[in-house]
Amino acid sequence: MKRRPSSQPEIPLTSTSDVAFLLLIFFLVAASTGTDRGRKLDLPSTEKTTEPIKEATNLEITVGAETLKAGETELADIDELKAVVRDHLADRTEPSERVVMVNTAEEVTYQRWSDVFVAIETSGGIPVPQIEEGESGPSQE
Amino acid sequence: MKAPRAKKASATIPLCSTADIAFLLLIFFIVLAKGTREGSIDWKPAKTEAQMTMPRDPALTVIIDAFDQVHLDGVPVALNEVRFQAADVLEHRAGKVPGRRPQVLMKIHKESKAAIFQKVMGDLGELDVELFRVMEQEQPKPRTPGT
Repeated sequence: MKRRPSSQPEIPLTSTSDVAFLLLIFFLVAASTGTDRGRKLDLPSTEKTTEPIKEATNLEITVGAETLKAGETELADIDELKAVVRDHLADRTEPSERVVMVNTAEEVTYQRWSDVFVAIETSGGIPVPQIEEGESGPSQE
Repeated sequence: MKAPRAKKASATIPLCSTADIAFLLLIFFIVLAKGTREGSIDWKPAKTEAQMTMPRDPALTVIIDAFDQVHLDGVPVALNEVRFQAADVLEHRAGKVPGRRPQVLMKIHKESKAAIFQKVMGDLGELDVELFRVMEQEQPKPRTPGT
């Protein structure tokens, strides 16, 4: 009488691809969340302001698409802006004294505006955008 | 003598991988739902070398895309309706913490013009919210000696 061949023990691998897919999708989802990072933007609130901003003594920056001015002085670049802000705020300790007004031309890109804001913040200033009340903005079709 | 009948093999549908399939479908639809809201909006963040922080549980996300279209939580809105729509969304948002201003995430395309983003910022600034600008970390440029 012939002997039956003994069956080899095997690990079932049928669902391996399912498991691999699940892991792949899990990591994709996990990677796409919680990656947002950035910076806070403090806008002055008309209701909360107790101390008026002393516009006459505060530094005023004018940002154009290609130009940059501190008061009436033309600045070469962002590094010069940092130096001017640092000089201006050297002996100012009160938050209201550290406010830097920022006037921005309509054609300025967000990247440039952001560079100016970060430069003022990192030089110790509190940048405040000059946004006209009731500004209608461009029409959107 | 009666010959023993061979037992009929019963036909069954294998259900072992049903749970896997259900999970795959669930995750697929979650990803799809996320994609239709924000993932498909075309915008590139401004870059900065400065230190950044993580936002805390934002109540609303405002995106200004590459075509100057404003989106509130992935839904496009007209520029002159941003303030009212945002106020409405924040009003009906669940999980408000008393005494803490809701945080609004701003994702603004880096080439967007001041005429648009300043208008949106001004409108959002009128609401009692904390604004948070989402940006991309840029590696500091290596300084050459003498600069």
